Amino acid sequence: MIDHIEPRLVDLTINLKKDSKMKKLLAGAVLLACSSATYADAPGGPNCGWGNMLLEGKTGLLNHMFALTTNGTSGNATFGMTLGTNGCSVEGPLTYGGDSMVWFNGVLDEYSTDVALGHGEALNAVAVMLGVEPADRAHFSQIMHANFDALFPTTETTGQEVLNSMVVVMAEDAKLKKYVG
Amino acid sequence: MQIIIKVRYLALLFTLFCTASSYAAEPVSSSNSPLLQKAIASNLHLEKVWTQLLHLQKSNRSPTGIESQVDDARYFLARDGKNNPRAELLASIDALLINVEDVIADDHPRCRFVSREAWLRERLNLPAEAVPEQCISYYEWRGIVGTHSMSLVFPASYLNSPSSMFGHTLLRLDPENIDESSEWLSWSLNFAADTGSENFSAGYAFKGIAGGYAGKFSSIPYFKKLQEYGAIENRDIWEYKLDFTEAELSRMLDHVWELRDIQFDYYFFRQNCSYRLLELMDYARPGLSLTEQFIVTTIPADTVKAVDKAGIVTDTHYRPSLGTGIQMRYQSIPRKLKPWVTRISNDDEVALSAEFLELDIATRAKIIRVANDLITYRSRRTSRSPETAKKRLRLLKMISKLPIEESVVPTPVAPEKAHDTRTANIGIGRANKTDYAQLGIRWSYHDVLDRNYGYLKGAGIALGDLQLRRDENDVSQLQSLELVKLQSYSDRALIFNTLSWDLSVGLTRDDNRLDGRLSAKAGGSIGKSTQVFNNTIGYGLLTGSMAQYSRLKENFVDVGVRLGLLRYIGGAAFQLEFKLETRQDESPRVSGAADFNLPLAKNHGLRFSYTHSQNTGVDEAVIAGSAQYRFYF
Repeated sequence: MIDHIEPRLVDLTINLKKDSKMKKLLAGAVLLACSSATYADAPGGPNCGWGNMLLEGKTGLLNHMFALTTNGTSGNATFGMTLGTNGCSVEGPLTYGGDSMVWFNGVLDEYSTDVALGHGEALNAVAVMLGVEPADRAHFSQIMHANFDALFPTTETTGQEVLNSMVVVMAEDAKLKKYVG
Repeated sequence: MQIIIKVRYLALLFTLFCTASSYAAEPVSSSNSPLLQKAIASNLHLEKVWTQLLHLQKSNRSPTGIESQVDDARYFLARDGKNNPRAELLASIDALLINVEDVIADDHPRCRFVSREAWLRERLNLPAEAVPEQCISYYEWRGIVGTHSMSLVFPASYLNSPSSMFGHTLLRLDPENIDESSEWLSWSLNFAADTGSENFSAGYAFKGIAGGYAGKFSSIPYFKKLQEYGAIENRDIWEYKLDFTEAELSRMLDHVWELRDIQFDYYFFRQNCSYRLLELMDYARPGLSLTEQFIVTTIPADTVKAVDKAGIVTDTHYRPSLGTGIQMRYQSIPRKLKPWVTRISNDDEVALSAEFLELDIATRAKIIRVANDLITYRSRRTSRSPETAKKRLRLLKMISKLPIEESVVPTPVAPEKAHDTRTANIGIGRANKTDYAQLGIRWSYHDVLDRNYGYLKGAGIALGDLQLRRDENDVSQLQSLELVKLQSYSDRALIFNTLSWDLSVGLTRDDNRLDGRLSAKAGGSIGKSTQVFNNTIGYGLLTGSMAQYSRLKENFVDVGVRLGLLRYIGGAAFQLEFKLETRQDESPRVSGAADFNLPLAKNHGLRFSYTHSQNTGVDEAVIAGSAQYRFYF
């Protein structure tokens, strides 16, 4: 799934060295309209814990200089019928439906940061996903924030486990228990 | 899962192939049918909507003088549908206006060409019919992608990449609950070149320009786009909420559905990401004519301006990238405490040291947050080791127990308020003891001195800069033709540990060399830059260039060092530079330059330049100065 762009750039430089026609360089520099790269999800650890889950991007000076990534999409699952998994199996009962769970896995990195801070867009979006009413969102954020250690005990904790802990925390809260009842 | 999809594609391909050939074989013989006669008599195939649905344009290479920009046989029901709109119309009537009971599978043309069918029914005065319920995939997709509202999304330039200044655009489609500020649950709609996993070669670049790649629409959850641009590429994102109604968006999405997996020829200059999105908007609301303004090139940033000008933007939202947030919070830490950030991001135990704990709690919170952000930022760009993940968790735990202030990044000037992208200049100057008048034009786009509102400070990209000069001795000549010049002197290079650099390629003259004859010259610099004071970037670069004159042996390689300051005062910019250079054909040269750009209005400005250079061991200095008026259009 990872679309390797780095080697292509290397090839380009070799070609430029061999044949330094300016137009090639120009062409390279000009390909930038709509430049953007594709990134593939990559699971970090063997257990797909939230701590290692991330997107893999490309860096490197050449990549930046030429932005030769031409906004490429690498084929599969681009017209999303599903959200696309990040290589981690989602086992056990999907408390909030398959798509939601996959979505949740996808935002865990931001969500963990937001929970630690006590605010943020990912935290808000998770509240919306769980159906938490606007009036209860600030409270939801506060409760999640207060329970950071319970939600994220180790870096190997999976998205499903985080969600399970959230359900436990919410069930114990007078205002939030109605959302997990 | 993938196998199933492939089998489905095969089935789809097969079905379409069969339908295409059977319908193509016969449109003439069935032209007795009253429906077809009616369609022919009323010239439906010449109507604008049909032209839009087939993406037709004038073409010299087509025998009919007209051709579809769709480059995919699966999109046409008539064999010659690509350049015969009438045949395609008749084949569509045959294929689409059939009894719903005959639709047995999801991949039937009635499930695919939903917009065509609806339009044909309307124009032929047939009662409207819902998309058949057998079309499971259609209903599934329309069910997940919301039509409550739509935004045009413009990821701005990204750090250290002036080339990304041309930008990119995509659409964001929102579900009902968008008013509850949950854009993370929205969907994106993106048109992009499908470069696949093809092996790269220099031909790649040309292919992109000449149209060798296929472009396709894709639709994935919007948060993935936020992660891609905001967290990895470090690009601030601008979102322009548009005033399309649910009905218009529904109409648009039906057509997007028709284009699922369908290939277009992709041309980087015009028929690119932005052009296709404008087309969709034109289709969504009859009467809009956004595409008509883009005849030669469609620069994404310009399409943002066009949409703004059309008056369909209801709200603008700025979403700073992770890097922008880090930069702002880092700057708010007192200078003498800044080293803690690096120390803690290297080793989180430092945060538990007695010395650090002496600081007040709010400052500690700030520092630990930035240290964690930096780790997150760096590890999202490459890969995150288990050790880094654990370190990050320990920092997050600390953060969760500290009082963190919500920090709001101030919104900069929006890209649609930026100066226009072509430039003309006229001015006078003196060089080599000769007065001259100069006239020039730059095809695109922005340099570090131009009015910086709406652009990234310290970054520039100039393409096709032509300068003509006439001197007091009535000699007129091509002074220079810069094909490309890229500049990246980032104010964040130290904190993010990136390099600053520039690059230029073109034709130019050097008064001191070979009687000022024209040479082909390529040069570049690489080094470091950082914010030294507020709004002031300081840089130090190693530089090198090669100039080739008309005879084979006439080539010169020069290397040197450049030190400079680039200061922004509002929209104005002031650059001071010192340069020491070894010269292949003469003694080393020392030079100092001062440049000042003063914007008068969005698209008008004045620029003053002065250079003083002297070769070691030579008494006489070479002095050049100029003043010019610049107009952006």
